[in-house]
Amino acid sequence: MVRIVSPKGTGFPDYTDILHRISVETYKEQSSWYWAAVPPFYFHINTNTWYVFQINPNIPENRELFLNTVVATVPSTRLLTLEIYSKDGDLVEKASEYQKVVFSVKEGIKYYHNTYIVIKVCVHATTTTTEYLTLYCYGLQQKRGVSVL
Amino acid sequence: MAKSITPRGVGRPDNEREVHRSAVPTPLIGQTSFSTATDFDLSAGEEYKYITISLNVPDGYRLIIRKIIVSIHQNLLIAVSASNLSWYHFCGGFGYKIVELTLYPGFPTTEDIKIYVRKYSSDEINGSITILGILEYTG
Repeated sequence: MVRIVSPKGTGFPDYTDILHRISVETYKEQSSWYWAAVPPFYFHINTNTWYVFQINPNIPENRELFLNTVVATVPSTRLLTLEIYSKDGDLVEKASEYQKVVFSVKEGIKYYHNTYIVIKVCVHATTTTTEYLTLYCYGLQQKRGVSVL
Repeated sequence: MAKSITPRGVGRPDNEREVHRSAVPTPLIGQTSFSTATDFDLSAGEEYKYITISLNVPDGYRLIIRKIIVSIHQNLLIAVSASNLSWYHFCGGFGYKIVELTLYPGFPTTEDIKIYVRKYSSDEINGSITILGILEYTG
């Protein structure tokens, strides 16, 4: 039996409007933006001394930050050690390389509102002297609770 | 009472076309890989130079810079930093022969950038600058 169905525009609902609104809003929920901390990134430091950098990323209350990249370099070929601490103060990353240390991971280390990024750096040398150090960080800030795809 | 539902293809709308039209445009971010490279040199008498990199970001797009690689032919120490046209320095580092600056997840920009290269030797150096990233549609 063929049933006559009212065509569009004459009262038959097709939900297109609702579907469109749902899909667009879902995308907006996952919006995120890029974050960078670049303190005046040339530092004059002493060798064999641990330097602690405490960076306040100013994360709003409803957002979270994933720290993805930290790069430290020195102009010499000396050994450089980099330590990164989590929001709870735990050591989560430690690496030593000559001249340059790169921490770069896709997942990132998570930080919340009112938490600080603590990075410690030391340049090792057989004698005490001075060095120039560059340090910069990159991450992604997004709405808290949304999974990172 | 059992209701007889007209099968597809004989007049009953199933809204499949409307659903398809709504769902496909939702991933509004169209992303494509981006790369550009340019040569540069510093003569014996030059200590440093600012090199402007033309990124030619199209309207409606932004570039997420993921990596900046500065490499020179000579095995010498150089310092590199990158800034936007407003002189906001967004990364930098030292390196012998090559400086590879990782910016993941990236530095977004719609304008050209400037790369500062400094050498610590009186020798002439020549090399290249490569910018790698993602071009993203912003609408």
